[in-house]
Amino acid sequence: MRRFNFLLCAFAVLFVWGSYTGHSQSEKNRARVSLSYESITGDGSFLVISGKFRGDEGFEPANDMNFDVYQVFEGDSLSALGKATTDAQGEARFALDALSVETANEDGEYTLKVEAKDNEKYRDTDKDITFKKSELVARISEEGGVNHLIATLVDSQTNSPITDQPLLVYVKRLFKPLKIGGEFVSTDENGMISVPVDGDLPGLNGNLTFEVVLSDNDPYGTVKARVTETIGIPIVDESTFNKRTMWSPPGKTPFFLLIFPNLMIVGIWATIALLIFNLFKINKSKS
Amino acid sequence: MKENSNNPRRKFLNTGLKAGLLTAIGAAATKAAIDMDKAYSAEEETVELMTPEGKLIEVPISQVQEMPELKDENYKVREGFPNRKFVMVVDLARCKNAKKCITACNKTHFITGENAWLKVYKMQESKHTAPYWQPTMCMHCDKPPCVKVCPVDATFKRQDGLVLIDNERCIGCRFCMAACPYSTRVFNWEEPKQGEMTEIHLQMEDMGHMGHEMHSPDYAGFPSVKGTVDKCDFCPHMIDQEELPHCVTACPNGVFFFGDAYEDTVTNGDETFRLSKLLEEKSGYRLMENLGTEPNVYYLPPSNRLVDFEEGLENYTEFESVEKPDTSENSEEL
Amino acid sequence: MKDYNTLIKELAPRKFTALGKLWTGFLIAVLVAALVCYYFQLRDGLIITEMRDYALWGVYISNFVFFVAISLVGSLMTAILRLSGANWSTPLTRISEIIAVAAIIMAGLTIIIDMGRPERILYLFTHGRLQSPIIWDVVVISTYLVISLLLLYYPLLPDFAILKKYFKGKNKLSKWYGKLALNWSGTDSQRQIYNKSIRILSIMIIPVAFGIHTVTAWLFATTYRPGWDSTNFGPYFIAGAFVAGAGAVITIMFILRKSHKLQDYITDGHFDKMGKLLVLLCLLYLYFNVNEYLVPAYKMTVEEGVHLNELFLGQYAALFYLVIVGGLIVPIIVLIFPKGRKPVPVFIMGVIVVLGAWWKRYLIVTPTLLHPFLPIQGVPESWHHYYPSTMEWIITFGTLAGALLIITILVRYVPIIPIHETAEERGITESETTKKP
Repeated sequence: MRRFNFLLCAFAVLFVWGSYTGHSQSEKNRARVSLSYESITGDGSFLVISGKFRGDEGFEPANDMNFDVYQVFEGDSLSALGKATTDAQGEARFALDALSVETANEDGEYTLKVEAKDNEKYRDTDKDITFKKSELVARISEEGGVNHLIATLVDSQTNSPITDQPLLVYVKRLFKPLKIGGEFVSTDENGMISVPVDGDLPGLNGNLTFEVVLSDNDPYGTVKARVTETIGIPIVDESTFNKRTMWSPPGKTPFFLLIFPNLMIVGIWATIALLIFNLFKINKSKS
Repeated sequence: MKENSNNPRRKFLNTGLKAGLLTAIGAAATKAAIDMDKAYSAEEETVELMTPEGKLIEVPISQVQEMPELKDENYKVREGFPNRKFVMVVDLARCKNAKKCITACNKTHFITGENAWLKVYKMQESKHTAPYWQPTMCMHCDKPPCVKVCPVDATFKRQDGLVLIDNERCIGCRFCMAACPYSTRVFNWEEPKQGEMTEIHLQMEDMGHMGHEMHSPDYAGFPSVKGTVDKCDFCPHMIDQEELPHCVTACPNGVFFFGDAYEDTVTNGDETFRLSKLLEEKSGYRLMENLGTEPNVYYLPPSNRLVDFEEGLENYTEFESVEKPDTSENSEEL
Repeated sequence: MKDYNTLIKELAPRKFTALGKLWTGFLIAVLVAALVCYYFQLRDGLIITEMRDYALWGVYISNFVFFVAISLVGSLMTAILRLSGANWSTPLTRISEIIAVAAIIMAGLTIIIDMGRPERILYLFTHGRLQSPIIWDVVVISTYLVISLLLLYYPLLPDFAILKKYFKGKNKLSKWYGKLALNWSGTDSQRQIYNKSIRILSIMIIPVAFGIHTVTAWLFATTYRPGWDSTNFGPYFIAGAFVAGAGAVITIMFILRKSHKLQDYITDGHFDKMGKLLVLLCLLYLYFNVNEYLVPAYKMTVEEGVHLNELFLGQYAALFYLVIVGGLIVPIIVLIFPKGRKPVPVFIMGVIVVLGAWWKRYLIVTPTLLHPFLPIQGVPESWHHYYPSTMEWIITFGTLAGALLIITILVRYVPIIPIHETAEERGITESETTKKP
């Protein structure tokens, strides 16, 4: 639904903009801005602003966009929260630690608005978002010899459990997180999930970092919680890097290859040296 | 602006240099990359950082952004990342010779010769067995025959499994090419026509004063060197930023899975699997297992195919793996 | 019986004849042409050759193997025959040693020519990996070169002393011969050191010679490639090397006998004996060829099968049969009859054998590379084949001319037949002649 609205909006904007470009000399880009609310338990909450524009090769990130961030109150009064600038990926993360509980409306909702002023690269634009805050807590506990990841999701305003919401559980890995516990695990009446953890997951020193995610939820946004426990199988480096192998650098030549060829080389070259020395002896021993 | 954002090579360069640069600055800054030149009025805590142009700037800490980096101050290019073992899985059931992997690889490694590092072979073992498409790149063998025979330690095996080439060391004897049973190595028979590289070269020279190596084996093809050997490097410059190799991300069919075997996880960007389960369920195998090279590229057999073999035929070019037209003109402009 | 002075007069080095000068000029011209081509190769890279990613080694490498093979003759003639008491070979030892030195020098240069980055050659010593067969080759080639030079030089000491005396007052060279003779006067202590040293050299050169060619064979046999992946390769190469070397000695000794009128020293008997020796070596090599080709052909595994089909029936078939039949079987048949062992037929067989040996190496190196395990795809059509480019040929001919030039120069300044040894064997002594001035 939201996406549809966005598209509609984008089309409308494109239409209006398109009719203007005929007269306009400037080659400024019309950036498309999207907002999302993200909260990471322990790390605070953020407003994620991402901008992109349609370039020659499709959508490209709109970097260096300067935004003013405001909180919107009932009656459309604004209060400035700060500024944010998009990075090379066209993204800016604006910390919302200053957002106090008292500023929420009676439903516990917050409304934020970002505005970008006309600059040499992009036309002016604005966007707003409404969300609620929640608390997600994750922990590992052993049940019947099997480790389980237990997560609880609670509304911050009412302190009541958020039920029947799908949570994703991942193990952090180098490139992409590895999903465990199946496709959808939904919170029960206590706002809780319990996902069994495979006993044979490897991790450095046995450490495994789990991440529970309520993804792109309306109205709670994206909510994450992380927990690290030493319940994995410690990674054992199997590399032959420090061994003396046939594919090692010169400093790690196998001993037999150091000993025998060098013995032969020394033996033969010592003899050669002797033979050359003999030439000197012949030279010296004239009658 | 236009030039900047439309030049993927420049972007690649910037990220690459940033990584190298930050390593040079020291441990404190290595975990961070920044948005340059942002002046902020707020009385925030600030840090000093060096820009790619080499000047010191002061920026508020809030603007210092985490940029994932595997490299730490102990990183050495000949040793690699500790406690990692990179591995690739190629699902032959998904490959229909779309060749996006080849294009991406050629582009990002500035391959200008006639022989690509990654090729999609049209395979058919015998008359009555099914034909299939087989992407083949460097296998980064655990017992690499190419490294065994190298007389000058130019090609080497790292602890993270990567087999890389030091083009500043290679004497061009081509013994490694003869030793490789997978025909994966290519030689720079002439001065590589990486026209746009001169600019990069100059910048790299500037960096040289700051202790950044001119050529680094973990940036294969950057630039290629006449009279030396090149090959697929598993994109350690991408791994360093916790990004997948270019062929993996370029593939529209999710053929390539990449990951750390120690973590037992591989991903093609969209799907993430446990390596051991994937190999077990799909009967993964390696090429020429009998030779004892112990490759780090696994193949999943082309059974229960998601795509038609015939679809790939229109893309098949028996005598070309590096697209020639318009690349040279493009590069002259830049 | 000749007297001492005639002996020296007949065997002392002579100035180039007009033909000799023409020949030397020709060799220098080829060498210069090759140097020009090599300059282009340095400037433009190995692109000037027809080698590409599949045919990654070509005529340079096969030429290198040929030179290594030829160089083995030094150990065969001087060491093996000498130690086995075959004294008839004495007049041929100098020729063999000269050939060996020329060939091993050119082998070393040829391998540098093949390098993509020759200016980095010192890395072989500063960063050498003992795991690599190339390092073994570098070690063993330099060792063999030094031993060959010593084996050439030691027996020359008395000859230089003789020449110093002979040319005294007649020629400026006398001074040089004097210096090179290292004050040789034939005292007992000198003779003792001399004899001991030559014995040590003769023994030591045999394992080193076997080493050099075995290691060269291993450059191929240590890969997985069908056609190279063979445990037979070391002895196969050594047998082939002896054939090539014997052929080279026969060729050169025939020419020198004509040009220097050495019929009294290199007799028909020598050709007869060399003919017999060549038959023996050819039979040995044929035996290894049978092993090398027929055993895999019996099994016809896929990879070997493709390779062998290409040799037996494919594009290399004509060359293959020419080399096997012309370079081995015909010489065996001709030389097995006494009439075939007259100087002229032996010479012709020698030339055929050398040519066959050269192409044989070409057939060992090239076809294998064009049959890799994975199909050749995604490269230009021309990369599926290999035939040397003109510049490649010129450079290759340049190395051959270089070897011949070294031989020519050595022949000009060094007695082809060991004067001192010949005199001793024939019982002619200097004192005898000084009695009647």
